[in-house]
Amino acid sequence: MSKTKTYWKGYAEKNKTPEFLNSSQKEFQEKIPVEEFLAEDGIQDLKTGRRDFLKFMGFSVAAASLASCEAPIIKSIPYVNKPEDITPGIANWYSSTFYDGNNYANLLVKSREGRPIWLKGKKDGFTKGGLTPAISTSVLNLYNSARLNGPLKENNQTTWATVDNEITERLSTISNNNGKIRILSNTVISPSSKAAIDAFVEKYASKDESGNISSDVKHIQYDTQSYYGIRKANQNAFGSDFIPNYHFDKAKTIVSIGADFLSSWLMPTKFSIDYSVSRKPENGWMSKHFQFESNFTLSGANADYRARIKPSEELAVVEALLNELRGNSSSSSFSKDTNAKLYEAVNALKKSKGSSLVISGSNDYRVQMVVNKINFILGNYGETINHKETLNLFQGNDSEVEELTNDLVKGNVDALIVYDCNPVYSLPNGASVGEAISGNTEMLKVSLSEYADETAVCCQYVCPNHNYLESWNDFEAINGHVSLQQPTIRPLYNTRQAQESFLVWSGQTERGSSESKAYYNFIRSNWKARGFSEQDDHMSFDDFWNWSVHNGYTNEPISSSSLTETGIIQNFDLNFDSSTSSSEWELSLYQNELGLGQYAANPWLQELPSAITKVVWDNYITMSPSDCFRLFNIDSSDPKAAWDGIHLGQEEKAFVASLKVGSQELKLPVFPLPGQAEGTIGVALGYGRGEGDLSVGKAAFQSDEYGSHLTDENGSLIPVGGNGFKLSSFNDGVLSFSGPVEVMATEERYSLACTQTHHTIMGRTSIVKETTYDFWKENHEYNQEAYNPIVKLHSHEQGGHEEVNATEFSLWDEHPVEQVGHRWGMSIDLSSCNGCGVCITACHSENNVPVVGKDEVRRSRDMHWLRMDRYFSSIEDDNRTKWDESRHVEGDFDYGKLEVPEDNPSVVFMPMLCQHCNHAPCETVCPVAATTHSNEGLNMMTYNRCIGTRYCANNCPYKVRRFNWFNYRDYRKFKNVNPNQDVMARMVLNPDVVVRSRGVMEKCSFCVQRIQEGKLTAKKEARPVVDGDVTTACADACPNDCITFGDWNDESSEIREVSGSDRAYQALEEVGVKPNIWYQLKIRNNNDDVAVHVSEETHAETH
Amino acid sequence: MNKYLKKHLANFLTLVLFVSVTVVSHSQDGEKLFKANCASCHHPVKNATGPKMQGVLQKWEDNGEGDLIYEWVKNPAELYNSGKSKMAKAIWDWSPTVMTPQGHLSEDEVKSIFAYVDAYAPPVTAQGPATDDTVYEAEDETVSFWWWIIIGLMVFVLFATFGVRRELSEVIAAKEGQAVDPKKTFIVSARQWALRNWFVTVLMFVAVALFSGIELFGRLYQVGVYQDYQPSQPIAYSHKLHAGNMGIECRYCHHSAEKSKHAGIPSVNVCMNCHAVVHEGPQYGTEEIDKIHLAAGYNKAKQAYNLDANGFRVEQPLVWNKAHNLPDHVYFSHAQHVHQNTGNIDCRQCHGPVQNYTLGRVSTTEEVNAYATTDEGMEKGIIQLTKPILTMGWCIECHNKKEIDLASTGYYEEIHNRLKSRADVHNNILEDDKVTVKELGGWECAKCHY
Repeated sequence: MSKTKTYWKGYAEKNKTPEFLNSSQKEFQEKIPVEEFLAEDGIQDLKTGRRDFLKFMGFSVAAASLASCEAPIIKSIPYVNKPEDITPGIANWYSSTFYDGNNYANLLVKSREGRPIWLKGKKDGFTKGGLTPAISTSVLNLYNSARLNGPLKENNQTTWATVDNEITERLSTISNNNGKIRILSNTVISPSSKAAIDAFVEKYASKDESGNISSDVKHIQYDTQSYYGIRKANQNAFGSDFIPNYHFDKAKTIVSIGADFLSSWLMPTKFSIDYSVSRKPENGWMSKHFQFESNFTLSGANADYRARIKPSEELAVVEALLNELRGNSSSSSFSKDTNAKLYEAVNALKKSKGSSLVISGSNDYRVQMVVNKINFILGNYGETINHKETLNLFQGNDSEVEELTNDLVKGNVDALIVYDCNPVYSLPNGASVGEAISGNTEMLKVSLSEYADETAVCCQYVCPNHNYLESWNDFEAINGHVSLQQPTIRPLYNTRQAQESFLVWSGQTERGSSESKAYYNFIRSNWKARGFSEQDDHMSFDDFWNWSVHNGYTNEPISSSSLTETGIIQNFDLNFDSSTSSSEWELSLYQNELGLGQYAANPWLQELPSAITKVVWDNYITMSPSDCFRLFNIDSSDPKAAWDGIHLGQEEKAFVASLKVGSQELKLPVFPLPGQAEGTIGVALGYGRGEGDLSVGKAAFQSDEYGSHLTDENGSLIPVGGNGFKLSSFNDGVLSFSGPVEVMATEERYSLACTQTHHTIMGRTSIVKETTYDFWKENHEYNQEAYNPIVKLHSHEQGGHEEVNATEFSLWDEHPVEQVGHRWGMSIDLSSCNGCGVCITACHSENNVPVVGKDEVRRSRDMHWLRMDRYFSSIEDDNRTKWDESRHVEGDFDYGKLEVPEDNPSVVFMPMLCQHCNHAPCETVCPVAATTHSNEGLNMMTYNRCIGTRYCANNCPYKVRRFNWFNYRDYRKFKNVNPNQDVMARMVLNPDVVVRSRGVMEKCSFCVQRIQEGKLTAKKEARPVVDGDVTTACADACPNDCITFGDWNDESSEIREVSGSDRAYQALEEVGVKPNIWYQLKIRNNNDDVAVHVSEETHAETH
Repeated sequence: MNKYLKKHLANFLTLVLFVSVTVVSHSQDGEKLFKANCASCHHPVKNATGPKMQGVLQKWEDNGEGDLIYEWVKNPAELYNSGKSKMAKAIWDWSPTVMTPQGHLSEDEVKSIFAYVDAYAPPVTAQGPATDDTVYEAEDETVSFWWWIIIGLMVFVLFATFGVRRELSEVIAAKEGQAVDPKKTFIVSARQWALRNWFVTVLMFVAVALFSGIELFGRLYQVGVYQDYQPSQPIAYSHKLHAGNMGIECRYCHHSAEKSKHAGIPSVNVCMNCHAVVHEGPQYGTEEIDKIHLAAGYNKAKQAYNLDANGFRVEQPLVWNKAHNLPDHVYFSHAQHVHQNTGNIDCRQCHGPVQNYTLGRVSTTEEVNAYATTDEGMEKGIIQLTKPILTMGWCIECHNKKEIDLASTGYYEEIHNRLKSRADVHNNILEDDKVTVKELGGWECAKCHY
């Protein structure tokens, strides 16, 4: 073994802080909530004597037995007129499209008896099955009972007829006086919506003699997360403000400067899938990914090389790259590590001209121009960058938005219609804009929001839009690719689709009822005029339309603008001053799973641990540990004491720091995150929704220990986290999400809920295996032992001392699962898994997993059946020196030596779920046989038999069993977080899975409801089960196809094949539990030279 | 029921029977022919899709076209087009719906149909409960209530007797000059008696304890057992009429049983397949069927659905009471059990002889076992079980008995092939020469609990 690497879940484990040791040595990490049970009904306060107790007992026993004698009457209401295609008990799937101005994805919506309950990406759509957690959980937003039920006027319920009459009347008056009418929306990529808005503009705009529409009526597009820098740079460089389509599946070298293309940048749904193609070494090649960034993003975690830079250094980094590529040496002031990685990147780029990709997440057009130049020199245009097929996303023009906000503050606008954006929440000067809007009583103010949100409450009229699952729409995210959105449920409330509102106000159509087909007919007429006439596969329009609705998309251009032919990309010169100033602290705002805040009230999303930090239900400052020492005056001369001094906020409260940009201040807890660039502050956007008691959803606000909402000194609700948008700014007409910031330590302390230290696997670090691409390529045909060693144990059976494969030892008789019926198996590819978390949310909604809220997560009582273990890894300090001496090659950079391991660790993500062991330790300890083994290899959990001893959880080596502590659907502690406690949100429950009750153990069931369903399908069709009949929710939803599920006993199945691959191993093989899950070890394409990652220590432990 | 009323009713029924017997002899063929050819559109005395038929012949004869009616029946269009019939023109103009030509009927046959129709008298619908069906309703409550009163009275009498006896003995003692011990209360004397007769006391105590223990155990055992449960329903639907008398297949109405986990309560549009035309039942007349029409939004006079302003039917969903209830943690699939390629089990295996019930009802094991011994039951391969229906014991008992034919379908063939390569397991399963559901995993928890 050449070199060892250590794996640790956080610095606490790495440095064995008392916090960590304490929690890891506890048999049960969770405290038993005796006080809470008692406090539930105030029993503690009562003086209950023994005799009273007996009376209570006797009465309750009698009452219980009396009650159980009476059969409850269960009502059942069948359809009056059953729709032909709905059979109660059988799910229907509809193709649709998700677009919210930030993310775009083609979807398949699972609907049961007319209720959408589950989503997955559509594999044959443009986004090839791409999903983000926000999209995956969006089905719950439909059932948010905070949604508006009908139009509002001055915050009072009114009728559609009233608002329509009054609005059109006032608009006509304004129009006659040549007043200023402004529509503010996020980027509209729907051809039909655009046509509806155009019709509105046409109606109210005055025209000059030649018929040109004057600028007094204007539609302004505003992207909450702005990409205006890219458009501006392309305008400067190529004369057209396009955003090209990027092809990560063709890129051999990827250099990203601060662009988190796997979770938020531009079109992560498509990019992450393309990227995963390049991360499966079996495809014959593997991309080399460099990431230069300040925050630890998902893309950074997946990168082969990650260097930490400040946001202000982005321009210098790209210029250094450009200079190196041109052969000019550059004198830069980067750290040695960054320099080394730059050098490595340049080498890689040079080797892969025409098949490389350099991207930047900066909104500074200068950075983007240099990036353009680099890609141009590398010949990437037309290869990995498709500038002919452009993205229509993010067409916002920041300077127009800034102008509008100035006008609003001045009171120059006569009518404002806000559609699908929330400027009062998300603009840097949102609060003052909000005051200006609500203060201007002369102005006609209309919001089309689904909620009475920050902007809507400033408006006079609110005309609530449908949820996207109730709407018809079409989208053209990429030029020439048009997809359709179809409703999967009737409108739940008295809402009206925004496009219909525009059509009604422009006199194009009459107001329809809740069953209105106005906009549907409008889309159809658009498609008839354009898309249908340009194809010749379908004879009749209905045929063409039905085919498109069924498919969810068409490749016929529907929009009036034909494909943007961005001519031949011309060479261009750079002429700007590249000098930048650096400040002590720099802020970098980013998007995490929560996105841009639209879904802050979605409890599934809030409870999803953030990919890197594993914090739930909160917003925080990420800061490098050394900065923490500095800011909070911790003496770092004694490393041990220093590390003990900072806290994750889980066991002990975290520090709180105050951030100040201009006049805006934000106080947030500090999360010490290894890998954060020094001197930078990371803050996630999208938190702090609903400030001022807005009705955006119960889960958007903090709850106390007993489930009531927390209130501040004024008695108003406290939102979850702080609003990071307050710290953004307009910079030269461009929205900027980074910049200098003042940071001040405070005396306050704050508790965070972080699952990082939960469920430790007791130091058995052999759980993860990884190697490098070069090493794998060299060895995978002959010498798999080199990177995927079989765990061996020592045997003295024959008197001698020999090493025997761990799998050969067996304490118990073998379960007959091989060749007997089915044996369900799963394989998870750690190499293409990027840790996005969609599997967790998919499992959550499929299996009715309860949401428990922050306080319970803090007590390690999170209920996720599937968790995403995030391991940091670094090269072992002691061995490093030794290794350096022996392996050092002249000219090779050895950056590993330069740093403290905690500063820039690499990351492995590992989805961890019940391994369905064939020798399951949980089964042997259950006193009531509530968990048993099936002849199909499943480790079955029988809730109705479980008495809650928790022995099984204690005996599980993977720590994947979850105890159901409370009656989550009734107990008041969960009233604001658990969707089951909401009449509307209850509709999202999967009727095929029981809602578990208090006192039972839960865990992954391998989606046994889907297994039974798949088997039944095969049985009914009188054929064997084949691949595709049965998938688990996680495998079904996984965008990157990392999870393979199937019948291992079927010799032609995919799972049978991959379980025998050279990368396959089983987690904790040495424990001898014989799981039915295989992992494919992770391969990185770098020169870490770490071939085998089973540490010596662990090997020794197994003796 | 009142005895006089009963008597009168019986007399009346006899009279009706007598009258109808005389008619029947004439129009027996006519009835058969009417039902086979005309009844789908015509009713003897009511307008349906076609006009009522009673008196039609008379009408044609009155108009002097008594012969032409046979031509009309054979081919209405031809008669109309020929222009020789005024009646034909009148009917044609009355309704745009053209009558289906009945060319295959001979003149005599048409005559016999009219003979039947003209003699038709609507059946007398007896008011009150059905004569042949037991309506299962919870009536025992009152019975047990009276029992309790009687027991209470007896206890009271018992104590009173004791008291009187005591008083008397005290009086006697006083008369005889013996001192009455004021401390000797009823309880004290009872205790003394018990101590004197300790053996009897212990025996009694044990007996009472044993009895109440057994009773309690038996009661607890019945908790959650819903045998014989028959909730009332919004419509007095009769399985006996539909599935029994008419022989309609279960899965005509409960059609999702083969596809889905739910057999489903039929949607109203399924009822309307027949009841768009059939407006009257034999037992309740129009009363119950009107409820279906109300639910469906059907106007039987206009023979059209009522529509609202938006063109949607004015519907009123029916709220049924579920008879077969399983706990939430039980997953049961009808498709798995009744589809021909899966379990292929007859509905009566679990639901009993439904053709004998009126409202939906949970059958009892005894009923199913009795049915299993009939010819029909044996033909359908009904298995006799012992545990109460809809309990887990009953489920797994059947899973242990029910055999699977491994050669039956592609699915089980594949399972069989795999098994053959595992001699140990295969031999184990085939020890008794049969493969049961249990042996293929039908007793495993997660097959039904998730």
